[in-house]
Amino acid sequence: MTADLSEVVTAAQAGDEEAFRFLYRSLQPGLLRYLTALVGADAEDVASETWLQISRDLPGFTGGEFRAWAVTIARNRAMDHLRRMRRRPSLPVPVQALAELASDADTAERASETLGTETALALIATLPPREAEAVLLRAVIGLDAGSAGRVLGRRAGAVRTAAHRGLRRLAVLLERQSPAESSLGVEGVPPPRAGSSPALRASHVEPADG
Amino acid sequence: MNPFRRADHADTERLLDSTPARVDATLDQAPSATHTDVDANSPEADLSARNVPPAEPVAALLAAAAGPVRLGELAGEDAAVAAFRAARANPAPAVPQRPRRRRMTTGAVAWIGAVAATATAGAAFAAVTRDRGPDPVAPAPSRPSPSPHQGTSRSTEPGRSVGPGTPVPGAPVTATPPAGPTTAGQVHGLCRAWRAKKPEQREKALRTPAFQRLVTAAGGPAEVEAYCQRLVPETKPSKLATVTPSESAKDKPSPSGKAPPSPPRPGHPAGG
Repeated sequence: MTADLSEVVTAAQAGDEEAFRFLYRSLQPGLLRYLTALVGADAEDVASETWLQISRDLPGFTGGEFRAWAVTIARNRAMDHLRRMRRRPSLPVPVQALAELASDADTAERASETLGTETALALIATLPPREAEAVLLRAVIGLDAGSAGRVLGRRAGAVRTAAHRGLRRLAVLLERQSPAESSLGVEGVPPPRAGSSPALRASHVEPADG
Repeated sequence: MNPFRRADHADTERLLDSTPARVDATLDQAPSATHTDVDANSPEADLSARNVPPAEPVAALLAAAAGPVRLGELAGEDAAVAAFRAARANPAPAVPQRPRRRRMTTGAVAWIGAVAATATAGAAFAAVTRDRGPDPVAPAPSRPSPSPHQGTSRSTEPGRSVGPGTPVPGAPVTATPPAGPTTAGQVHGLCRAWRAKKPEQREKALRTPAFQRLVTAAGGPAEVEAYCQRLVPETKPSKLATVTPSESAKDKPSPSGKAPPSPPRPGHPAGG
């Protein structure tokens, strides 16, 4: 994955527009999900700022894990954004609200895949910031623990621990949320898109450092 | 029960390593995936199709979080590509620390240019007065434009792709220096990036710092639309209206070929 991506990065640095497009398509979904956990409904704005900076700074990228480089930019933009807004995330998603959402699942005619992603991200966003970021960088962006640590300015071991704790917490959450046999409280919940549901909009993760 | 509650670090790592990259893997079939996976009532089948142990809800959650591209997630693609294109066209200093130094070097270059031009202007003036030197320098020394002096007859050039809105390529274009408009070019790119956004997102975009320069250049958020229309008239962008009046003063073959946008004042023509 990293190997062929680096070829694409080189091509993009040389000005290949298609290569850049490929990078965007590979990275943007993960970036957007990660940013949603950081800044909520403003994730799309921050993402476009991120890509603006990526395209400007791309010639200066000297190698290494491109994903980590891009995510670092995204994270910095998100921090700037939060600082600018002076608006701190409100309460995390109350599990109760999610459970209520889930009860409407049957009436939803939307694709379960989309909704599952939405809810899963909202659940991850309820974790403490460090854990949420660790989980998202590892599982959604696809960084290894070392790269995620570099993005977060922490050691790989710390990232592993945070991710582990986060997953444990999620396990408890899921168990509580679906005491019945339906092991998936994740699938089939009908919130539309990021930011349009109040419960999900509140799902910010307060970043670990300011 | 939930087996993950008893998981150890190794399990976590295995789990985290097995989930990602699905976003990429399913990238190409993203539009169809939303239609094929509607079967919400059979999580088992769904999960086994994705190679996730069905016994682990956390694995399912991670799989869902890293699920295929959703509708709208790639909506900013064209804007990003436009920004990329603009950045290629005008490689600008991106790091906020660099502009200061650049401004300083620009100032130094301008200063040196001023001195040099004043000196050479004196020499040139002397030369002209001494022995009636060559003709005055034409304003378009190095432009590879095809047949720039074709006049304004318009019908004589069928091969030119002149848009309906673009002015006739004649006198004003030939004097355009390629050096000056770095900021203008950036605004160009911003305009294009802004245009590439969906109409309902444009107003919001103008509140982001990424477009602040555009707003400033236009003179306000409400002016951006008209401003961009003027600057990038939908068709091929042309670099006109960037002719600075002082440009002619700098056309002398001074040693500093890349003269700065702020040329020496022609106030001391005879070298003092």
